[in-house]
Amino acid sequence: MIANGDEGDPGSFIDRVLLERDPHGVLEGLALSAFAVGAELGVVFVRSEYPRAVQRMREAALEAERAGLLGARLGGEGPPFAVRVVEGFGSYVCGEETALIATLEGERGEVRPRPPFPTEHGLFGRPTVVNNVETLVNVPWIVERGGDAFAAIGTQHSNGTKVLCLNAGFGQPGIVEVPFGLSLRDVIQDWGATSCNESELAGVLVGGPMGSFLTPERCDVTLCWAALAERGVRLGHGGLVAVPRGTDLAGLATQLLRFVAAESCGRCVPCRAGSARALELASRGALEHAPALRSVLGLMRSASLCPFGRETPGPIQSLLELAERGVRA
Amino acid sequence: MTDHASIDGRAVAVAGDESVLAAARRLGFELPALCHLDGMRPEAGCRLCVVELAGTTQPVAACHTALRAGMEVRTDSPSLRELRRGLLALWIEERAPALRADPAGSELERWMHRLGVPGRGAASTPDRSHPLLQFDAERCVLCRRCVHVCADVQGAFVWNVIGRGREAHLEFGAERFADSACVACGACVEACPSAAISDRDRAEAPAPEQRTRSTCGYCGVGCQVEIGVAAGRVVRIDGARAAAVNRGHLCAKGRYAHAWQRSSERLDRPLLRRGERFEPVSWDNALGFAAERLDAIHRAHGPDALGVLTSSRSTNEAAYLLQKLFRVRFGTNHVDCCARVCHASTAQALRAVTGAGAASACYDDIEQARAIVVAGANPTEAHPVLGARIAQRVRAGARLFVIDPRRIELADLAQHHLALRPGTNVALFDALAKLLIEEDRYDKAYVAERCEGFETLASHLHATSLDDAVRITGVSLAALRAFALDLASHGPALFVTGLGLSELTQGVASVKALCNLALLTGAVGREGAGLLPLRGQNNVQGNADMGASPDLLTGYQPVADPAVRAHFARHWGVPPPSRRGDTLPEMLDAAAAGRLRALWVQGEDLAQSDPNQTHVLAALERLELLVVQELFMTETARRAHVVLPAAGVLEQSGSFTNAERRVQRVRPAVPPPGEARPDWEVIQAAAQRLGLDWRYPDPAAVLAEIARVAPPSFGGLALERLDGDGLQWPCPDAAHPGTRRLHTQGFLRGRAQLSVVPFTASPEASVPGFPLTLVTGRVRDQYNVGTMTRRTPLSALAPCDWLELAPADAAALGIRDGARVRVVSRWGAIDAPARSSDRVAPGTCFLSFHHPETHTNRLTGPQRDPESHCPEYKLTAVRVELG
Repeated sequence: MIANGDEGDPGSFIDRVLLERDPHGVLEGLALSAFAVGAELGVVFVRSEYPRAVQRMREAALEAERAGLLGARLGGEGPPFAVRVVEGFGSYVCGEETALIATLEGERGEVRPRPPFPTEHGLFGRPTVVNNVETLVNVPWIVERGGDAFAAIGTQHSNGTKVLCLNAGFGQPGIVEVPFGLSLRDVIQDWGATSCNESELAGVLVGGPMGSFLTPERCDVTLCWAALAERGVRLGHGGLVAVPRGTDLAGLATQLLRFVAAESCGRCVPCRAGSARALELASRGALEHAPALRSVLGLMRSASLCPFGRETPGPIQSLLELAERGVRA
Repeated sequence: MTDHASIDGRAVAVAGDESVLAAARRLGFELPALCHLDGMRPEAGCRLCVVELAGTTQPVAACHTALRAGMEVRTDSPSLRELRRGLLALWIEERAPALRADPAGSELERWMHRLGVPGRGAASTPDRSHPLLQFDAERCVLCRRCVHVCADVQGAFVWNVIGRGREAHLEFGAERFADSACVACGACVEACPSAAISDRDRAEAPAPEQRTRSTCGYCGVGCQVEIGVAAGRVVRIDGARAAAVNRGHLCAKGRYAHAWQRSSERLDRPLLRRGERFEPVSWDNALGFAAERLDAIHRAHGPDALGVLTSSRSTNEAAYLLQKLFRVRFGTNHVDCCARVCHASTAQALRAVTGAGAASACYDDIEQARAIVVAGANPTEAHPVLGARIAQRVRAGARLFVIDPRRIELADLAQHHLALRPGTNVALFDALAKLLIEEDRYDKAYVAERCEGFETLASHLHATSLDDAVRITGVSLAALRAFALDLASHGPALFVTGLGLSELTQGVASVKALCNLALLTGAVGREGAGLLPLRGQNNVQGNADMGASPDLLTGYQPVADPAVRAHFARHWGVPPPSRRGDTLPEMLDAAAAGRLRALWVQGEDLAQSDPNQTHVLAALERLELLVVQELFMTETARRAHVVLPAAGVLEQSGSFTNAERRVQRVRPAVPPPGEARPDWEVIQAAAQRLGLDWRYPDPAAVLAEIARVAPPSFGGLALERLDGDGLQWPCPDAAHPGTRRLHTQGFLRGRAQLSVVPFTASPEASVPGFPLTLVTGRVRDQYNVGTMTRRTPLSALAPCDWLELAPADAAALGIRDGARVRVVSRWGAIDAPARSSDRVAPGTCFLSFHHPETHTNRLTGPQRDPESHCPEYKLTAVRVELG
């Protein structure tokens, strides 16, 4: 049972807050999930850029072990369950579950094709469940109050709450936990204290570099997985980056490409060679080379091995289109 | 049609988790999959195998998409073609400037041609530091096939990917490729789609015009090879992909060491000694002379004056005919082969314990083993393809137990390594058996049901002391106990053994004591377990099987048994002689004493390979007639009266038998040079000169007779049945599929014998004035006396024999790496270059015997096992002096 705390989306710090402020909540969720599936080993994988989270998790695990809640007997009376806290290796792609598992096995942090899925063939070939920190933190609450209580919050298709993270571009940055069912516009306006209109906002990057770039007029969407999917919006981890009006959108796209090229693990050709080629074109002038860029981004989208290469072109392409439109207008 | 899918409209049956790529290839579709290797986990990197599935919008990679019932797959469409072209162009533009589209180029360059990606074809400067392989970074596309095969087939981990994103590149862990950990197995060359890694020796060679499937002629693993020939010349050797033994893999020897075949030093005409010189003569003259002299010696001195050694490098058919010739024509049982000086102890012990003097297990037991014991064998160097299979099995989770005085490569992977003093196997195995019994951790049901002699063994072991064992072996009690208990917990194990048990004065005893361990843990006759002695030469198993033995006829039928002799008389016309003949060392003793006057040696270099070289040379010098069938003018041939030029492994037809009793086909790929002739033909011609009416039309007819004279073992063997993977004996009749494992239902002798074998120290242990213990053996890049490998580019990897000393001993003696030292035993002295090695234990040293100028066997002495007569190559008391 692995808690995935390799939170790497630029501008995202949800897991960081949970790991640092509620380490026992993470451990409890991990232990309950492990008990449910019969796992003997738990791993809390924390990105290396979160040294305080690593330290807090280690202290918490030690405390729980000393209290007799982890180790030989889970909760003092259950089966054995050991927890290891592992510091990541500074790679975005390791947030992907198969890449995360590969690094735990001492191999390059690279994505492996699925199937086999980790639940069948995971860490060292053993069935392995990988869950996000946020997911696990929900578990004790659900176990305590029951599934119905959790399902009563949110929408029919998306139960419970979602933690969202608002970056410095918002009037009121920080993280908020909201029930599913709110509209994105309300979140931006009520929680982010930012007017969601074109006079102030060029748009919002939702869900990190693999998410979606939404202009203000597209923000009338309900926070609900089904509704988001229908509109082609990827909420991802829940990071919201406000992009103020007047931002150089082609420059932002190039910046995102720089990130993609630096973090591409190098395993598959379209992502490795494509991101490098796209960055090279964008650096020479994203708008002049727009057709060539589109074609390279298209190759990445259709042929990359993992979502990193398939989905990072999405917001970049949106930004480039907006930039082109801006130039024409 | 729920269990079917379709590919480009053609129905295809869904088979388990088969990938779309595998299914498409099965139907004959060609898809580019340039990072993919069949049988390996998908790399999924190149993405060129994209296909479309009906009902989905995104193309998927065929290599890691399982074919499911109802799937409609499209492998070709304008958009797929455009996608593939775009991907390949992106890839080639990213790296590999030296590649260019070429319909006759590498796999990748052919696809560049087909998909319309021109490439640049820029000039490049490959790393040519290694004698066999070269690496051209400008051709490398980072497909990583090499990384896979190096890790997952050979286990050498030479190739690695370093860096992320565009910075990612291939590394081999050294400045120059020659300094990498590469063992030149060539698997990466075969895998590489762009010829970034390629062969140096055959870079300029033309493409093969014909390919001949045959069996490798080096060690006893018996790898299946495809010999590529162009313009009458062997240009390359590849592993046969479908072969059960090696699954396409080979070692550096099997793949690269074939230049001996066209060496200008090959013997190509029969030679007769005239004083100090040899004179080329016709076959008629040479065989006439040999026949006349043999006959004369026989008439004057009787059958005991003649002896013969068959060649474990040659075919079953040649060995059978040669032993038959001497038994039938001269009535002598002085028949032996080099099995005597390697695994005779093993064969004798196994026969005594189980009833069959051969491996009980098969190679496939390696992949099924939960635990593997490697005792007195160094498979990664001496049997590299099996060594790699063992290493892979251990990587996959099997426990490995190594027993060897040296820290061999496999010891690095082992949970236990007992570095015993040379020659103390019996004390060690007895201590382990004692621990198993006294800790009550042996397989009682197996012992009660299948073994005899337990009470006697238990009371013998009860009387031995573990403290003595610790003192004798130099292994701590804690290590012994941990080994024994772990073996009991993780067994039954596969016991892989080698000459470190056999080539000792306690050779038979060592193997019997090891068998005790195998029996106490219930290992023999079970899947993934049993006894697997690794045979040294390509056909040493076959030579013993054929009756190249002074007391056993074809199929291990004892000459002493009148019924057996009567049976042979029916097939041979005359019965074989009844009295047991001399073993190889006895024949040499008899020659030195003047009793043995004529010796026929088929392909064996006694003068370099047999122990106590001074004595061997004296014996050979004294012979009135020495006939040698050889490829080259070896140290032995130099002393012959008649030298007959032989066809080598690439030039002969017949069969070899490997270490898992698998009889496999040998086929000629090229004709022998000049007048050289296949061994079986030469024996038949000699027999005819000696007045016998032999008319075997071909080796098939010889094998047919072998089947008739030994039906229980070989009755079902026939040359035409050996296509593909051959047959494992026992194979009693034409319908029998062969036998993978022996003793599965009960032992050949009824119950297996637990043996009481008290430890006795070797006469070479603790000799005053000779403080070090010398172990002789082989290294990876040469083969035995090097007759063949020394005449190939491989020799550059091991150009001389090294005396290896423990660093502490080297320091104490003031020996720096490369210094020439004098090594002295009670039997002789040599000079050799020395170096320190942390694989050698303090107090011991190691020397190989590949080069004639080293004269390693001047040092080894006359000691031999009293039962098997196997010499003590593995233990000689020496002292080392700075030269």
